[in-house]
Amino acid sequence: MAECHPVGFQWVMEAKQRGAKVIHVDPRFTRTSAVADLHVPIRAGSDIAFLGGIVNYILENERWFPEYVRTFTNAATIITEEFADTEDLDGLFSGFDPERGSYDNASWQYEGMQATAAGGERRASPTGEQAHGAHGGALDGGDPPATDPTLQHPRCVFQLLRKHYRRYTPAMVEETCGIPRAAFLEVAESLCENSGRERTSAFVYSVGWTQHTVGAQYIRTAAIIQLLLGNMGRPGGGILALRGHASIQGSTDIPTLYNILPGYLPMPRPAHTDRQTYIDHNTPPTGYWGHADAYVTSLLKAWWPNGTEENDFCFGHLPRITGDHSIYPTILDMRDGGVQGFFLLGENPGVGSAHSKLHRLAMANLDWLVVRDLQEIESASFWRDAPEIETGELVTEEIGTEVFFLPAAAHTEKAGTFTNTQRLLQWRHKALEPKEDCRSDLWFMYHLGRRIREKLARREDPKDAPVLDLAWDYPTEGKTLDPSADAVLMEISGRDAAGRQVSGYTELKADGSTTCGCWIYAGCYADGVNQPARRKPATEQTWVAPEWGWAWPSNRRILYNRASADPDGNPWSERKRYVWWDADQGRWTGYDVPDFKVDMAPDYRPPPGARAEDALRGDAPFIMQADGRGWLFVPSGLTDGPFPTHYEPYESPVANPLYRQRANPTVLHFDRPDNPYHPSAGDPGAEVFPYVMTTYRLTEHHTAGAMSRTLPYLSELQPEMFCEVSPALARERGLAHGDWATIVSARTAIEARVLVTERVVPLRVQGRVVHQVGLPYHWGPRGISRGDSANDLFPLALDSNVHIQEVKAATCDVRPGRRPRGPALLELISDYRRRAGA
Amino acid sequence: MSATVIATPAWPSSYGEEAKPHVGFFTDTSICIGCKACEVACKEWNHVPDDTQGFTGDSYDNSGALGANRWRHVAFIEQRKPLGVSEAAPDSLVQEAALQSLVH
Repeated sequence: MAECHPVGFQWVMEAKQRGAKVIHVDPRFTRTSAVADLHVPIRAGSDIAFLGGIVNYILENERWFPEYVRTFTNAATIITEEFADTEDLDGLFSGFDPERGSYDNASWQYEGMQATAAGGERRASPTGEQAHGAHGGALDGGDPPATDPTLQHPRCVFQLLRKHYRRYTPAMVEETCGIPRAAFLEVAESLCENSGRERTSAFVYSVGWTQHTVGAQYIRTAAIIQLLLGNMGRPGGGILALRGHASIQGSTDIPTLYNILPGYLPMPRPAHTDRQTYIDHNTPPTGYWGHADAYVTSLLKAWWPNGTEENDFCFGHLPRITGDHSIYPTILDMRDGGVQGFFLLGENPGVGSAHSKLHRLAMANLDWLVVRDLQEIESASFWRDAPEIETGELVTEEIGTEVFFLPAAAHTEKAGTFTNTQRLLQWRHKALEPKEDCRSDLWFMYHLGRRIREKLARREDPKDAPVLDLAWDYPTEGKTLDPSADAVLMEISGRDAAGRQVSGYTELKADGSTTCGCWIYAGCYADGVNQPARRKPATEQTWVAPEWGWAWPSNRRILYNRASADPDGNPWSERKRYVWWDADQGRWTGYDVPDFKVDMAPDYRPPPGARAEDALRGDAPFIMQADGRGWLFVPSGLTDGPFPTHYEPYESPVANPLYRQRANPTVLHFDRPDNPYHPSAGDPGAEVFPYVMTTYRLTEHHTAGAMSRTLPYLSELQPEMFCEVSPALARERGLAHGDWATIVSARTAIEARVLVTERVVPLRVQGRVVHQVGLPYHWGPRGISRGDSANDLFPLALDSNVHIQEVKAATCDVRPGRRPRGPALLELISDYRRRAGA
Repeated sequence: MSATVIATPAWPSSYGEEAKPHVGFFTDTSICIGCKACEVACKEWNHVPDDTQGFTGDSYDNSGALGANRWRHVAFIEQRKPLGVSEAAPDSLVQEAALQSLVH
């Protein structure tokens, strides 16, 4: 965190000065490790074994928070008899279809009830048909039909959890992760000691957790720990995702993703022929998603103001998903000639994406490419300076792609919001005008849309209606006619029938009388005030600082904060007092905005027929879930299992110590000649790629480098691509400190300067030494500071939940000296492929 | 870190009317994480030219030492340090930021 988020890390340092214990778990020793109380080196790709070990430690030593777990989680819920665990099926859960490589989760359900997922696609089976929330059975008095409050039933979640993690012992952690028993025990015990009524602990993670073929399940394992220890919905607790750069949180809230609409509403599928069908498929009868009809209708009204009951509020204007349109399958399609045009805004896939070579080859197969950036990045210049030009794989004269490079305004040159990991929106004022032809992205999108609409308006073709009916009348400012970001924020926040700004999402209606561009952002312009622009000093408000910026939803600083009070509504302790029930007033109150129906008493029990939040108990804090409980076991919403299970990375030099099933059985892999994979442990040829490689960032550079490799003061601080290796690996491979090394995979080979350091620790795993090679991924052939791109080495192997690439763990070889030039590089790679049988 | 006016002798008379108050850096090394933003800020504010040394191999430090074109420098010193669990990671090292700056 100090390495990649140095500004945010000031708060960790402040916590440390106040007595917090800081533990850093990371394959490499960084600036964070240097100031942490404990650094634990871990084998890249083994975190579920490590975290699962903590789950087991908590359960076996009775360190869980009983009052919290019994009431606030689904520990007591009984799971259907058909469910079989990975412990029963040697690494597979019940419902696996080996031909499709996917699960049918019918057997993972609550007994007598189908609980729908709280977010994303509410899909019941891999056939693509979405779960019918209304068919999901029902809560009875707020409880699932079958529970065992004593937590003894062999099929209750708590016992299934215990069984699932029983073999994740300290010895297994040591054997799998290379973490000595004493270090593991210190981490586990520290977490337990610092959790409970008086204390809370937080997990902070970044792409070191997500960029794996089991990425979503890493976070899930942390969620299980935090629920068992009572660290969710409470001050100082939680699981905090640090993003790759500013407002990545915002880019999923108001998504740049293909499969969701603003506010995590699923994108419609072809089966959703009308709005009601879509609503029926995506509205669980219980919990706050029960108002999905109001959220989607208000969104449609914000986009298409001419919507009425008669035209179904223009629901037909929304595109439908017909397949996997995430970025990597799209790139493969592009490579195969199936994509003609491509917009790149603020992204440099020719350096920053997994198997970046494949991206360059794909972009060379486009008709046109629009790149908007601060600098002419590698993804705009590949046609003349990609490494493939040197090898002869690309010939400039033969590339038909017409590249339009458009200069973009920097963050200081435009107004708007950043949404950070706390869901806090902070307004950014324009500090100066962009130079020359540089324009904001908002300017580009608005004027592009305006021009397209002008062209379409002349055609009178009904299929143009979705574009022509759009609300596209933003006021513009200044001589460049920059659209008002303030006006966009007002549209996002929403208005009622009288045109007044709404105060929050509870005001939204399904009858078309309200508009809202993103229901979770409803109220960010409440009272006609730009709430994210508030900057009241800390000294003039409470420690929660509710008047600094604005947090979604409804300015809540901690989600699910009803869990900061016990089931009866009293604070768990004075020290951790946050939100509580005021019996005299008959209301929830506290330092934060209560994340609960404000007048629902803790002893409320839903009457038969209650809907949405009224169908949840007064002591069920997780109000977006269909049962109001934190899910230790996830019956619906994940593609690869209800419990996180240790699988090896798709490429690994180590066998799975627990199961015959080596890697995640649902991994999205693309078996084609331009995406070869390495054999893994036990397969012939695995010894050709014996080392683990992992990518990361340095403080001095930013992601794919466009904003830092082009600046002299940053480039001089990290002037060249390098690799980090241990002295033992340097000896084993004859690498000289300060000299060159070539890192080889079946995709390509890159060169890097050698940094031999004892900060890289060889790990003892399953009786052998595993060496890891650390690779910063910032470099490319352009800029002041240039070098080969680490991402060229990695294959496309994706997590099946979120389709993220596995670039935090794969295998490689390392050899001394610079890489071959020109066609000789291709010969080296074919030789490796031949030897490995890849 | 903050620039603080400190009581010091007047500048050499050769600066004449250009003479400015003597200022220095205050650095709290107990919270310094070695991000080197102060090195960059110093160069930005004072228009000090870049002077790349290339890859030095000296831990994460590639700016070497103080000089005419480097008025502030954060050095990294890698050294062995027993961690919280001594038997766990006997080879672990600590990286400490050592700060140097030229008062100017």
